[in-house]
Amino acid sequence: MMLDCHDATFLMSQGRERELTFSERMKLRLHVGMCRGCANFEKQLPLLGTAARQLAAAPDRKPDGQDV
Amino acid sequence: MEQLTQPHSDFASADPVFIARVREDMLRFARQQLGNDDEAEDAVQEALAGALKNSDNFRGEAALKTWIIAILKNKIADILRQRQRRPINASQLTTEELDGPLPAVFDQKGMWRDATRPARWEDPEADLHSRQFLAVFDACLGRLPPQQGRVFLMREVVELDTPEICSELGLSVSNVHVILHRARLGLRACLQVHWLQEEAR
Repeated sequence: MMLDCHDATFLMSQGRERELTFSERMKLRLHVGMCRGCANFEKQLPLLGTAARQLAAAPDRKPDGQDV
Repeated sequence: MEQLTQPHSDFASADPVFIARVREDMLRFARQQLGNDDEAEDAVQEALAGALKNSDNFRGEAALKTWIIAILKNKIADILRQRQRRPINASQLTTEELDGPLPAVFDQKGMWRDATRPARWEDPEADLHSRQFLAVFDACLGRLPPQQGRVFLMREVVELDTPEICSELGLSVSNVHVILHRARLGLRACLQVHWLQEEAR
């Protein structure tokens, strides 16, 4: 059965919390191979976590008043 | 709310069989709306007592039933409004309320809408070290429904695993998966609008 983009991104998201099954990985590869939007999503997904950690680690940006 | 001392004293003029039947219908309706048997029971009791005070004004059981249901609906609306002002107990919420909405990035077939289809991110490494980018990211985090933002940060920054988040917030594993999916879709869509597209201009 073919995944739609909603289901494909749901599996990618869950892939950060749990190991996907073999069949889930196969369906995902099949979808991502044909879908540019989901391929971009897959690359950007881990960067959201990185950005959140960068933000948490960044020195308080408020005192200099430039970035907020 | 006022105590009802003798709720049945007002029922004199109405047929008890009719009242019993209406009461069953009301209870079913109230349970469905409130998801809580005790509150449903109380709401029905009060609505019935209130309605039957004036039951002499009604000719015919159909009209009386309509009147009783109208009063019950008002009671239920009051209870739901009060609930919103109360601290929320997770077990009373429906899935939709718990998870927050799915961002409107997919069409009815579950495919990306043109406007929200993920575009290429040219130089993420540079962006991740830019204060301007992090300020936009911060603003996008702030726009997520609160539960989605909280669970996302617990997962990605505090680095709790799913069972830890579940026990911390009283959520199921599938709730956590749905919440994180929605949070990530929403964050990414917000970044595309406020960072990637701005940059491309």
